[in-house]
Amino acid sequence: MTTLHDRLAELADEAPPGGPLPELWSTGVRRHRRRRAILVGAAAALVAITVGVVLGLPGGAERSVPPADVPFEQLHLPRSVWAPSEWADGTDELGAPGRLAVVSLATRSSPDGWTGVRQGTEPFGVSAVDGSAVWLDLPDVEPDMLGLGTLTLSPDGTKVGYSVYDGRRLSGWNVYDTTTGETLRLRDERQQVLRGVDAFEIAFSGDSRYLQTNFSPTGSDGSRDDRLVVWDVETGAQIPAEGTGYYWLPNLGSGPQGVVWSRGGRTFTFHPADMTRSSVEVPQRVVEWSDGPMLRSSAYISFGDRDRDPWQLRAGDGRVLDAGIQADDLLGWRDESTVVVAQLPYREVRFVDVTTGEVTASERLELPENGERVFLTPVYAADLWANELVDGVEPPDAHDPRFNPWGVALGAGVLVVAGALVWWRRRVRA
Amino acid sequence: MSERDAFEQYVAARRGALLRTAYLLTGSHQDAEDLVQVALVKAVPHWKRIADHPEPYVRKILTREAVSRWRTRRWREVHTDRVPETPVEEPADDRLALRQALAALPPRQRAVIVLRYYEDLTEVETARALGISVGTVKSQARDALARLRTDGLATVSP
Repeated sequence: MTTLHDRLAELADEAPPGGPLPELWSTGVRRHRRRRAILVGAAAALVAITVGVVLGLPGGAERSVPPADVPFEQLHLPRSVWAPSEWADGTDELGAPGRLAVVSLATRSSPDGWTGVRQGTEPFGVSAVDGSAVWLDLPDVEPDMLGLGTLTLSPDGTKVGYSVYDGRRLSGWNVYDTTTGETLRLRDERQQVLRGVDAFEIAFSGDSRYLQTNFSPTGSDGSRDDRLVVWDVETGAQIPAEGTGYYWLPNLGSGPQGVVWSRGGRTFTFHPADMTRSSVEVPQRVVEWSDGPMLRSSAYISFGDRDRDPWQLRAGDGRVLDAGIQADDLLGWRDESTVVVAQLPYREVRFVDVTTGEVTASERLELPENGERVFLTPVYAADLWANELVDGVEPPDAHDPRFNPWGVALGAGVLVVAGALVWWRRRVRA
Repeated sequence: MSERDAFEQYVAARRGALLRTAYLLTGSHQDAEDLVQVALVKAVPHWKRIADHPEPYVRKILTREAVSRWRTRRWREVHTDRVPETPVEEPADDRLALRQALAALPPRQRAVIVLRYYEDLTEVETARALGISVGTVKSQARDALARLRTDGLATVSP
């Protein structure tokens, strides 16, 4: 009986003798270099993909952009204003926020390199549609330069106006459209740096069409050299509303049409469309004047007879109205005869019928739990005082993007799969 | 002597033996020559490390490449309804019968048979060459021998 070895050796005798040999060594060297290049490239690609995944995953849930044409009745102001989570994405990532109810400033954190943190005071808005809070990544904003009077919201909630600085010098204003995300830049072509006693204070007109500013047309710092200028936020046109020569910026008021301001006991209404101006005069010095939505009612806050006397809320005909609180600001109108009055810093709000003098409703605006991060008294969309207020919406937590758990898990998964693949290849290919 | 000279000296000395093993693993002259060439080319980058004792490493590449190629080729096979015109030869002698019986074995069993009973490797060496456990070598060898006997090689003994 032959062994299997013998029979296999006998069969192996049929093996080919082998033809001429190619350059095996050179071929092997070239093949090795080629494989090494491929492996290095694959490893680099893997690292790039992993890093991209770790750094690129969104920090929070995607936010749907509320449509611009939500019926007015469905827009609401919040009783409490929540700032977004300090690590949350902003409009750069989420897009235009839609109509806003509130704008303010709060502390925001962002990664600085791999492990560092950069903190700053940045603007945010609260949606009038769903109450969600979002950071406003406004173009040309100089870090930490926005504050009281330099950030404002139009009464209809569709435009955010803010001052623009070149370093610490005022260079103009921007108007951000919350429904389209576009920004209109308002600049005086004659001067790159704007000067004026109150050049930093801005406000929208009652119809949201004009941004009211004040600066010196000649670049002078003289106390009587600045003037009231309104900007058409649809065309960007600059329209002087009042000449120079006045000592101080007028007290800005509000009305359904045109631009309203007061000097002493006289209140002016300027209509930029036809450049006409009208005025009314009352016996008291006016702190703030406001015309009702149908121009059938007016209300104003007057100074006291002496400087130390409290301010008084009055109907347009001069009657003193008791709001039950100190009347510091006229926020808007609930209807054509009910004015909304607030005591700073916007804790207590009263709805006062200027015809009967009765307080018809009241609201208490609560500070949110993360209110310590909110630096600016909220600026409300004045038109929305006509609707019922709603409770604020607590924003979702956004995790620190430097330690994105999903990204880390995915990156680790990719590395494990790659490692397993390499191990398998080495095992199979000897 | 340079690495290249040592490699070429090894190839000149061992190519014939490698071709015999490769022929048993593939059953084809062309595949055997190709297999040996690929194994030697793949050994080049590692030559510095294996130069003192290259045979186990080259044999490992040879057998694993044979198994790997069979797997790849299996997926590329095209099934056809037409019977090939080449007449099937009846086994004329034991050598032909062994060749056909080897061809019918799964690639890993075939490699176990070649390494264990032609190369006379131990079970441990065979397991190391194929990257499988000793237990698997034992079971694969047992099954392969049983199939060889079933295929008419009654006189085969390990």
